[in-house]
Amino acid sequence: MKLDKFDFIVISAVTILAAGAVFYGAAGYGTQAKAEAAARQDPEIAAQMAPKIAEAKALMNSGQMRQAAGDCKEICLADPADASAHALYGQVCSRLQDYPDAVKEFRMCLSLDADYADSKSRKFIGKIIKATIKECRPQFMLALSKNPNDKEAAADMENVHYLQRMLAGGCD
Amino acid sequence: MRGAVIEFVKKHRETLTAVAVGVAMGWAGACLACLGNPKNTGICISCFMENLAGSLGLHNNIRMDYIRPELIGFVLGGMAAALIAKEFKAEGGSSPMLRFFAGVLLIVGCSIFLGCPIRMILRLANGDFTAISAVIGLVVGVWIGFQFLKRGFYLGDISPMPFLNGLVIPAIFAALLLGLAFRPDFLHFSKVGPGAQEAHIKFSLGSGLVIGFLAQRSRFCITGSIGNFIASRDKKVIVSLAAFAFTALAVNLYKGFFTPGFNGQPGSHLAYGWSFMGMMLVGIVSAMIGGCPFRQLIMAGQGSIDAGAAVLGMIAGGAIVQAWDITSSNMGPTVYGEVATLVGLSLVLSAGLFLRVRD
Repeated sequence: MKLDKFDFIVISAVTILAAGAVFYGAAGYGTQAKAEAAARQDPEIAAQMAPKIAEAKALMNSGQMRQAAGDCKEICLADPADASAHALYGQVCSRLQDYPDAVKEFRMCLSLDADYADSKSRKFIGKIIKATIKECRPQFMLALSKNPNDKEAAADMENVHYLQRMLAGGCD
Repeated sequence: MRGAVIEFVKKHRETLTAVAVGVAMGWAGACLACLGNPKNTGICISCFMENLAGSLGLHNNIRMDYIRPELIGFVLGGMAAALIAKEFKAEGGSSPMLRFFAGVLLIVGCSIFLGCPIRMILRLANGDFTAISAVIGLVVGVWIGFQFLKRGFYLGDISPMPFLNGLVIPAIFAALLLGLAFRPDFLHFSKVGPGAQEAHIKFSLGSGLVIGFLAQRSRFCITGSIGNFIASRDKKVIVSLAAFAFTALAVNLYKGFFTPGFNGQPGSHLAYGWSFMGMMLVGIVSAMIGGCPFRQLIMAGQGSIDAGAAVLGMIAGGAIVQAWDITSSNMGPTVYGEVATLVGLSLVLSAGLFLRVRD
């Protein structure tokens, strides 16, 4: 069989694509499993943290935001896969007008459990997140317009965009 | 005057049917999203296949389980049109196994971008500019597929089959309609997530039947339209695509759902390169097997066993992309998704190489 120019182009493309697949596979090997393991909640730690979450909620409801933030930080460090703790921490940060941390925590929460962005779910906190975005977006944009190389403001904006995409819904 | 109108309709019947299906699809696509389907996802064959696979218990994402009535409508509407026009033919035998895997790859490519070619246009009509890279990818993919066809790519002869073969896929979808109506325990239905977002069954099924019927008559196909334009500068089908996009845009503008921009778009991500690659895969595969995912459903409805194999492959693909974490999320594609796209592209190009009929 005689190969023509088209065959050689296709063979080259297949070689590059196959090499790319091997490269991406090798570079990312285990990352997905690690991410899944990190997102899996340890039931023992969750049980240990339950009273702390209740305490943090009570503190937030009574307006003691600083203390609530301290508790939430502790819970999130002990159990990073607990979406409810991130949701609570995000709300506390939002009330404290610490918007960069608020959007970061909300992002963590939604990436762990998308039900928090689903209006059909009892966990739904979309309205609170939307209100936070409305407050913080102009601030982040202002920071970026002053200094387009501001990496922190860029990361904050990226978190806002992620939250907007999640809240907008869609089949994904 | 009346005679002139009749004469005009007779003369331009094909174009008018193509425009009618475009308008119906744009209107239904936008309205279904307004009436309860996920945002920007009034019609999306790949998302619906993932929903269907979930409902059948083929993957474990409890947010993606539903039997979309639109899918049933497309197949049964296509079948009705084919029966009325005496075009229902049970035929096949042109590499059905390869077409099954092509169906899997179609869903892999779509899941990287987060949507089939129909949703790609619906996303654009909603102002989601992240879909632009996918449009370019799809056009490039169809062009590559066309290069293979031009150079002798051939999947084998199609031959008549016993009549019952042609009824299998329509019968499966008719059974799914019963499953949707009676909801037996072995079928799964989401309570939260995209699978729980649904327009009223009567509207979904009705619009599916009308679109399926019209699409069978007009041979509507997104990738086919692009391919025909590339091959013969045939503008008829491009008119249909334009009618689809502008109708969806008009409905979205009227309903206030048009939100132009790159950020904050529902069911999207910002990995433009991967969207391009995913849709390029879809474009190549669609050109090679003779139709986009939507067209495969319509052809399966009119008795094509080969298209039926592709439809079964798409259901399997819907299960695989969810169960193996191949599908992208709002954060972007996963590592598995990236590898699957590259492997898919290299497999398709290799198949194109081996299946060329040379002089």
